[in-house]
Amino acid sequence: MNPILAGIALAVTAGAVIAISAREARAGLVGLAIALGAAPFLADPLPQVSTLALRVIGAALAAYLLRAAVATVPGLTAGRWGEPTRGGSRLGWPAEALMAIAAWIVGVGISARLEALSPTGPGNPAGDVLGLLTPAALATSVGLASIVVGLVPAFAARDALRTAIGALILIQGLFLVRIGVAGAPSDLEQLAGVALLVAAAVGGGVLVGAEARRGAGHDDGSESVPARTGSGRIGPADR
Amino acid sequence: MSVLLLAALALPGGLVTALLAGRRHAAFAVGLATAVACVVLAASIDAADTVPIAGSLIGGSDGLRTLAVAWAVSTLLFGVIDALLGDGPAVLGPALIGLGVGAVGLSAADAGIGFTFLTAGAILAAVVPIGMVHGGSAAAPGLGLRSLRPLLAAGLISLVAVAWGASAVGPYAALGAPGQIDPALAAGLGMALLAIAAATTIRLGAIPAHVWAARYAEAMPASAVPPVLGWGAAAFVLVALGWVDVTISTTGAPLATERGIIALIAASSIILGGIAAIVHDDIEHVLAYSIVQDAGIALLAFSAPGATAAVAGRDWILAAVAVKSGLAAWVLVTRATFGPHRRVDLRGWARRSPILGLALALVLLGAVGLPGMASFDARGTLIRLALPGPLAMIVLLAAFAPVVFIGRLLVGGVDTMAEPVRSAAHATARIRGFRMVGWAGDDSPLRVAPAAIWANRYPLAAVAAVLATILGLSVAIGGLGSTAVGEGP
Repeated sequence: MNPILAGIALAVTAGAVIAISAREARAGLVGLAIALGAAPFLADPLPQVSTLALRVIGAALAAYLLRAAVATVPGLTAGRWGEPTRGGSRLGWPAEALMAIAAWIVGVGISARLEALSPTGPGNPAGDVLGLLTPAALATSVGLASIVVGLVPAFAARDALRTAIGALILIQGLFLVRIGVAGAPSDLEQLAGVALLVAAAVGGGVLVGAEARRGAGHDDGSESVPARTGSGRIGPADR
Repeated sequence: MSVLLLAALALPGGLVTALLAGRRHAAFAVGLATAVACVVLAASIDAADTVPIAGSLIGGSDGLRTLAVAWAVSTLLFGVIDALLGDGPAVLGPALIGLGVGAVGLSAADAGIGFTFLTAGAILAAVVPIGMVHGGSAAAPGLGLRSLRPLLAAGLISLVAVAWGASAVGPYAALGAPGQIDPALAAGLGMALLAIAAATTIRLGAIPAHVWAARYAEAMPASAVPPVLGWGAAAFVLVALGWVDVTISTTGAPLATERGIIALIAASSIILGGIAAIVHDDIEHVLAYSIVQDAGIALLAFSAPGATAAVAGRDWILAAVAVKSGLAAWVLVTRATFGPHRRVDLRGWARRSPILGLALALVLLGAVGLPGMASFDARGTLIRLALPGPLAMIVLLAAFAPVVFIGRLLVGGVDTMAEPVRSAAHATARIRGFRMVGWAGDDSPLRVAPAAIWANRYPLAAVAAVLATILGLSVAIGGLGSTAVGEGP
């Protein structure tokens, strides 16, 4: 077991759990940034510096895009420390963390079986627990944990921010599982992954903004107004 | 290299167009210029042009050129129609981004890269216009979430299947001697086929995953439909068919049960989609459910083994998308010209605007087809290969539903004019009597031409719709022209 990789894996998992379960929007975004920013380092050997930088910058951009969208939301109420709040996980962070741990165990098991079946693998998995925590097993485990905690908010959350955070954690988790079970991806595949993360963040940011405008429209008691196109005409969907 | 140039032009051009949305003229100038350049670059894609980049190969093909040209021309025509009709450039910018990302995704040798890029492009092309068109309306977040989730689900399911295929238990590593397939591998192959078919069903909006597609087509301007439910979805199908060819078909596994399930879903989509298109009175609903029906026929390509079905599937999806883009153009211009969206309120529309009548007649020809046309042959081949005799007959009959739902619109078009149609002010062309812009009294061409274009914007948009239907008809006649798109592992 590589202790540095294990530490990164724990950080990514913790970031994912925080991102999904935190009630404060800013805390959730910090967790998201940790999860997305640390995940590129979860590989042995590490990708090229340029690719690594691209993934880290892409992760930072994705988190920043959501942060920028959240900053425009006037409807979010202030929490205990003046932080904007949103609906966190209803299960709470302990339950999310336990689910992530369970996913870790499943991931290690899957990775051990795959390694035993691999033509280039050792044939039999290591006997001790630490020996099972290979780089591939860590990637698979963290990826599964991210998928497990991200799946419900991505597909069942009612608000756009929670959906966007869930979607980003889910996408990141899937890429980690792909690295764990099928080996290191090419640089272009990693670029494609960054493109998907940024696209999901842009989409999430647009929806957070739309939700905020709707909230602002309802706050002052007015009905939602028809959208206007660039020329000032009412958009066709509102005619 | 042309593919990379296309992406390098379409991405920033689309981004600038989207960012300039508040300055309508500037946005359309940038967007339309980018679209024209994209058409040129798409036409220059060379089958022998393969570029190694970032550890992978980006390659052109004849099929990719056909698809990219049709996609770029369609984007250009819808941009022109939106500009003429006074709608904002909400769709053009994201559509260009979708085109650029989609071209790279299609040209990548690895299906995982293709699915990832196409999912990214689809999310941008679908969600960004919702924010720009609907703005602060109460429906925007819900519509956006309902559109984002299926696109994300389709992409992620397909990526799981690709990851399985490349793993130690996938067919590349675990395939035994020729003709012998391990039962565990056969089960894995079956699940992978079902997963890819499920992803395709969701992405295309086929029944039972049709609700999001129907709502999207209903709530958004018709120009937003082709980039999401048309070209982007067709590219997804091409990559999926390529992956199935390389990963599943080469093993020779029969997978009869899995293929039967897919055939059942496809048949239900064809039959129910056709019925829904006939039952609905709203032209946007007709467009949406006709797309659902086409998606069912495309799904048949996954339920029939062999290269013939894959080739027919490729031909069909491209032709169907091109023809339905023409229908979307007709819906967009008809709604803008006359206002109502119900068939009964649109009686006599073809008498009032014969150009639109020509457009819908061409759509009908492309959608129904004639023997010898690529789309007609592909549809017949898919149904024959995938479905048993009696069911094939029923499904084939249902596949000709466009005769009813488009033919009925055409017949209503020559009926007595309804009041909204009769009172439409700009339906016909005006040759004189333009209101000049500015204070000067001269009639220089520089002043007459913009005034003439503005006075005739609806007939000109109808001409653009005719061009879109001609594009659809030509693709329906010729098909993809190649099997080389998306054949990567």
